[in-house]
Amino acid sequence: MIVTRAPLRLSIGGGGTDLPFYSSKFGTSLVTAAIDKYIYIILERRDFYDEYLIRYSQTEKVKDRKDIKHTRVKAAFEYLDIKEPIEITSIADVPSGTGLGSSSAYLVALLKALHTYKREHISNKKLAEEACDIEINILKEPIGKQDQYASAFGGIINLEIDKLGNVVVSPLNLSYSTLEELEQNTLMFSTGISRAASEILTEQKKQAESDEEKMKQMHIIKDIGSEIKKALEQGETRKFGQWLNVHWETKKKFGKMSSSDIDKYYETALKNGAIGGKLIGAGGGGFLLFYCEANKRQLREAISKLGLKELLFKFDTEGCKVLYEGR
Amino acid sequence: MNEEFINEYLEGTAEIVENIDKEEISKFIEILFEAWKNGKKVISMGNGGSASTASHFTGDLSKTVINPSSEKEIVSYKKGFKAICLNDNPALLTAWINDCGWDKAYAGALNTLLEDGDVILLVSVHGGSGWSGNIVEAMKMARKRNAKILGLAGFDGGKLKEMADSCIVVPKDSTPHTEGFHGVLQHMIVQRLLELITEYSKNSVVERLQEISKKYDDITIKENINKIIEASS
Repeated sequence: MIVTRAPLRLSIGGGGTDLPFYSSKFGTSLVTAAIDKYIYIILERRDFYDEYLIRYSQTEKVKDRKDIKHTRVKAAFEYLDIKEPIEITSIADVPSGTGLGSSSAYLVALLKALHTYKREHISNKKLAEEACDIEINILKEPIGKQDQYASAFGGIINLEIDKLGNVVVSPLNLSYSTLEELEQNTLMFSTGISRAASEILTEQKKQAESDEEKMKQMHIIKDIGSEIKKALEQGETRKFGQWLNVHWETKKKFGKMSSSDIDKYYETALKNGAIGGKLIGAGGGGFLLFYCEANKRQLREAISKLGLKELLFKFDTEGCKVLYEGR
Repeated sequence: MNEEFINEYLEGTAEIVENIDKEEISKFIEILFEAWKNGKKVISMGNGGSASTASHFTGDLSKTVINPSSEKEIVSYKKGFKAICLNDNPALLTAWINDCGWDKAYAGALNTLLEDGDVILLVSVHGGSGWSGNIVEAMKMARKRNAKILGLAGFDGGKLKEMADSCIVVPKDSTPHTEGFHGVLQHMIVQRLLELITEYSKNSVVERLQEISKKYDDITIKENINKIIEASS
């Protein structure tokens, strides 16, 4: 049996500018942070069976891999040419469709497990690129390269993506006390709204490509991402909070990004001590992130009165890894 | 007819310019700048002529450092020092003196106002020696509250020089020269703080955001600026 895990991520600044429609024209730079919430993949040999067993919210027993319904599993098996019947089980710390990049984390953890099964070493870089290749080129998902890299590398990282899609990864230069302050002062709440990211991303692409003003907002989001990186590296966490607010206000200009409920949650948070915040991921639902220095108790009480649940978290420093490898 | 006196007086001033401790002035400015960055209060006081210097200093710390006379608008996100002058409140001052005596005049008011990291700014020609027991009591209170002490003095600097974190002593044993030069120092310090604060503010979220809005010619950012101010205030 092999067990792997890959972390989920928070888009910290510049998220969305990794979408190919933007980054292939202008290139980009963004900040993303892996957290200690994971997708676990358990891979087991099935030497005594003649069919694949894939367990997730559904269970598939399939003889021929081309009949597998789970698109990522099927694509990964084909990509790495897995012929023997094996069992794949997945467990997630957080529900899918909540903006934390779980789809890509699933694929990254799966690829890691499959490579381990094949007794192949794979670098984080190659792991991320294989996941990108499968999701963007093969499955034609309207996504960028943020989630796969965050999941494979872990930590709080800056991604520089050029027009050709080449990615340079560099960890943010954060002091220990900045990191601690961030962990203490950032709070996450579930909006309870689950949505398909692809729909919102497609809408964002449509708006930006047809409206020059909207494309301008994409440039601004990219610049805000750089400001966020600078604030964090200089240890100015309060500024980080203020920039989050600007980031969200800018991103909200794209339709379907927010809703009247989400706006209400956000306003409540700001009235109760949050300096800034944003929806994590593509938008439309999922988790809200807030930065709050004083009055965290007041913020928690106000938000929980609205029926939202908090997700306690710390940052992940390890990225995708093998937890157990037996033969 | 008065020429000789005038020349001699001004020569005395020139002597001060030559001999004053410039490093101490720089240290004095740094302490104030730190206090501004951290949003701490600056509470000033003095007796007699020094009271009016303390009062003038307070006005400039509160306004001039962020709004020189050329600017005609209140900009809500630009904040000067949280500066207060104790001798500007005769009701409070005389109440403490009346009930607890001259020495407690300022310490009584500080007891209510002074918090960790705040700064007290004292102006005293003889540095609290002799007549200004209220200056010494004020410093004791500051030590208790972990507040910084700044001083403008003359002669040997007295107790003020001994106890202050930074004390600028006018190097001439003359009361009018000392009081006059305190005015020079006060204005110089305020002008330098204006420069430092302007430079520092270029990296603030609001200023950076204005840069970005200019770069992309985006007017919608203006709405955001108000939201940040509301959110962070």
